[in-house]
Amino acid sequence: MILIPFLAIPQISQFRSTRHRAPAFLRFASTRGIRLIVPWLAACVVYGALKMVDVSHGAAWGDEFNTTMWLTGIALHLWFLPFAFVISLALWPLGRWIATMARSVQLHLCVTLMCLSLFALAYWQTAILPTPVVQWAYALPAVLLGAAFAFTGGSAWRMTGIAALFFCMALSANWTVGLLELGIATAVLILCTLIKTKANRVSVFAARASLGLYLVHPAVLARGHIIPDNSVSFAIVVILGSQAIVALWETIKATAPRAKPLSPQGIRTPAKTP
Amino acid sequence: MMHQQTARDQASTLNPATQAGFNPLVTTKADTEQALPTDDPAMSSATARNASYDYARFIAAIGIIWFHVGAPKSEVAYSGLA
Repeated sequence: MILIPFLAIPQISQFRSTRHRAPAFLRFASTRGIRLIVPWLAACVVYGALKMVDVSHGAAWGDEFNTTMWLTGIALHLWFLPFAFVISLALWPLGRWIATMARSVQLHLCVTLMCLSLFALAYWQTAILPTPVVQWAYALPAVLLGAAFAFTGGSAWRMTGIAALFFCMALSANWTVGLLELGIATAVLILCTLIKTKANRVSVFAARASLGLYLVHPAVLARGHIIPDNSVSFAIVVILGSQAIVALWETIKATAPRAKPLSPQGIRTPAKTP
Repeated sequence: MMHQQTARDQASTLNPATQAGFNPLVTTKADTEQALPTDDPAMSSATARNASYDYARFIAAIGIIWFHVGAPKSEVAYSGLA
């Protein structure tokens, strides 16, 4: 979640507007939509079909479908994708502004976002919220902290400083619910910034597989109850099962015949017959 | 003239080496410029990426699965979502 604004804000700042192409915002929205909304719709279709099978086997309609699914998707875990899409679009003004912003203003905005993240964390401590608002509220501190990190200019030292300030203030106020998860995610983000690695086939596969793993794992989880729940072995089986489905999908995509673009010869007008 | 303008616009949009400013996905400007050509389109577009984020995303996805299974230390694994 921290990664969304941290990666999106610099990307937005680098979208160029030209007279000859679609407006930059529409191109950005289209890119994010293809990455997030298309898989979300596909997953909704698959999980909808699985739930219909359960209904046909006697499950109650009300247990399988409810009105909040208009916001989250057919399965609850899918809430993440429309949320990430909306957040990406909401970051557009910040991303455009950062390109022309003075360094001192960036620092002020960075601290402001960090404080807003603290407020969101404070609200989360005692809030009792319905689904899916509770998921959005849980994600908000991470999103705001990620945005604050984006305004450090990618400096690991500045990020460490902002993070230290954030966690010292949260700990001193005893806002500890959700703080451990946020701390681990922040540490990993800073480590990734410090330890730069070049892409290879493994990393390309990891990038492709991560979203697929997230999307398919509840289907594997629901049908893998031959192993005791809440055990390490069950977790490993679900991870490997999800990984197998993702690997199969990637294999199908890689081996499927692709439509070839028309060559200049292919669109040449036929010669006139005498 | 029009074609030259379009090509320059596209180059400034698509080539990370010509883009100013900070991009966490790109390791260094030199890395971008020295990107090795390859037959794999995914690799060629990703050669300049800082792949550490891709590994982190993959581990985060595994962490979320670990949490949803309810396996031991699942509260730590839920850091994947944060």
